[in-house]
Amino acid sequence: MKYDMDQLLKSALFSKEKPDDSLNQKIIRKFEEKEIENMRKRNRKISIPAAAMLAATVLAAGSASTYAAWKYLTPDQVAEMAEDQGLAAAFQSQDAVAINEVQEYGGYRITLLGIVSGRNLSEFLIEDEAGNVSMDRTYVVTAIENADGTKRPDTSSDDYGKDPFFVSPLIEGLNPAQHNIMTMDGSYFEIVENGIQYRIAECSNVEKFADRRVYLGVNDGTFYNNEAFQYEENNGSIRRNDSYEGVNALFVLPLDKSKADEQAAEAYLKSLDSEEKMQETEEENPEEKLDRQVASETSTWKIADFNEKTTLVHEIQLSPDEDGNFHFEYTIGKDGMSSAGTVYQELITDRDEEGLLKARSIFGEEDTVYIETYTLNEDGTLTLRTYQHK
Amino acid sequence: MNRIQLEQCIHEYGTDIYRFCRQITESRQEAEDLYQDTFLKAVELEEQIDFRYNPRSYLISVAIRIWKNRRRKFAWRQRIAETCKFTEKLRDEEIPEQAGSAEAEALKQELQEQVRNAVRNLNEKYRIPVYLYYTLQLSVEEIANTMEIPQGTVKSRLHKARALLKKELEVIWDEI
Repeated sequence: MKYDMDQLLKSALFSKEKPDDSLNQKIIRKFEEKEIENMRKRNRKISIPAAAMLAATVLAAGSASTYAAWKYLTPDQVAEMAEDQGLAAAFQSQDAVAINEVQEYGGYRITLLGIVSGRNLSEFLIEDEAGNVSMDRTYVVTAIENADGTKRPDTSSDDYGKDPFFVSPLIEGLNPAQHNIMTMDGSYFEIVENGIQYRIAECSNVEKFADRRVYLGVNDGTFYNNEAFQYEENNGSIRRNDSYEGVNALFVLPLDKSKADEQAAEAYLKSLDSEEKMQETEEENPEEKLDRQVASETSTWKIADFNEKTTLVHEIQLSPDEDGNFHFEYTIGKDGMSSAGTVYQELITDRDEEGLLKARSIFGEEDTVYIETYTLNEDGTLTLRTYQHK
Repeated sequence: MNRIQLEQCIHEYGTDIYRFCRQITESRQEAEDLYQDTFLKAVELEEQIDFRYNPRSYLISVAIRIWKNRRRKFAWRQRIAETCKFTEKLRDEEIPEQAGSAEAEALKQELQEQVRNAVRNLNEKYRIPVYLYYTLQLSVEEIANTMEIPQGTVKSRLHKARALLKKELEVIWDEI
């Protein structure tokens, strides 16, 4: 009896298993425990600006009475529970803005409690993508409740994190899918107290954008959701999508317009771009470099170019399997260099007028580089040709 | 890595990392430990994960490193005992259902079991690319990045693995 080894391996090693939510939550909990432990170890070294401390002392009593009528913890209390005395002081300072705006969507009540921005406010600073410590930050505190009055699960509960939220500043004129807490060196910390989930979300200081409208968007899910909000490319406005059935709260953040700094904003956006470019041009090893050079050189080639500029060393005709995929396996060269794989049917749509697929495989050892090309024929078969690069 | 990045990694790559851990460790408990440790180690290493490049490859390479270290440290006895459980589990949960007679299905399952056993017996330098290629369906390029070896070597190892498996399984197939 003859069996197709490729198919047999695929079916024998196929897996549908997924990690349990509780396992993933366990990782997040362990991560938080470690974070708190690390913070405890390193926090005392960072000084809090004297002005912020003074303001905290003067305003503490007033702030407390203002919040007394509320059922929520105040932002500084949330910061204290996060063991961040520096941030707690900042939330009691004159620079902090206390808010009590409520929005209810998708079965959840979201309350924006407060915001503060500035340098060195927190005792725990976050490293940005380049490994630099970000000191100039914005912190926003929100409370999330179940609208039906039931309690939110405690952070130690297995149910914690099963209905996640994405909380992020969004800036008018910048596409929120590209500019949100994730791309702005963001992070957050959560506690659950009396069934209310509090989140301190933080990212690079957004006050530099204060001449625009800056929002706080809250959607269900772990990531920014394009369905929850609408971004108009032509005027840069960001709106709630009224027909979205989940959570899509959108608050306007009360920023001090005098803090707007067009130059700093432009420089910040440029720095995000340059980070991206730097990551794109990371050092390659010589083989990768050669592969990339050959890939770039041959990317626009037609079949005639390959025939003219390279040497054809192997050619086979492949028939599709029942799913429309093409499997191959062959050996070339005097050292028995082998190639095996599958050309999946989704790759077939992207081809030139002669049927040559855009997908190629480039491989080799030392100074020999092979380019494997695939051409779809009119009868539905695929011709695999391997050329040796000169 | 901060919490948001960690959640993003788990959301996007958790399933693949978990499946790889299940294949390579051969027991659920061991796989869950390796899965957790992979993410926590990635955090601890404090290497910034470039989400535009290939975090999946990075995470798998972390899993491979931890697993190799652990395997050196712990007794092989436990693994042999767990292998039996894993075999049963695979039979129950992981074989895609296909219509066919009971006899054909039993034959297919028998074959698949033989294939899994044969893969488990491969030297790890062949076994890891086989799991990455067939279970996670990583491309040759991704496997090369993950294992930090040239693409040509990956192709050769996959080829060699298939040749070894063919030889190993030939005897069994001839008997069926």
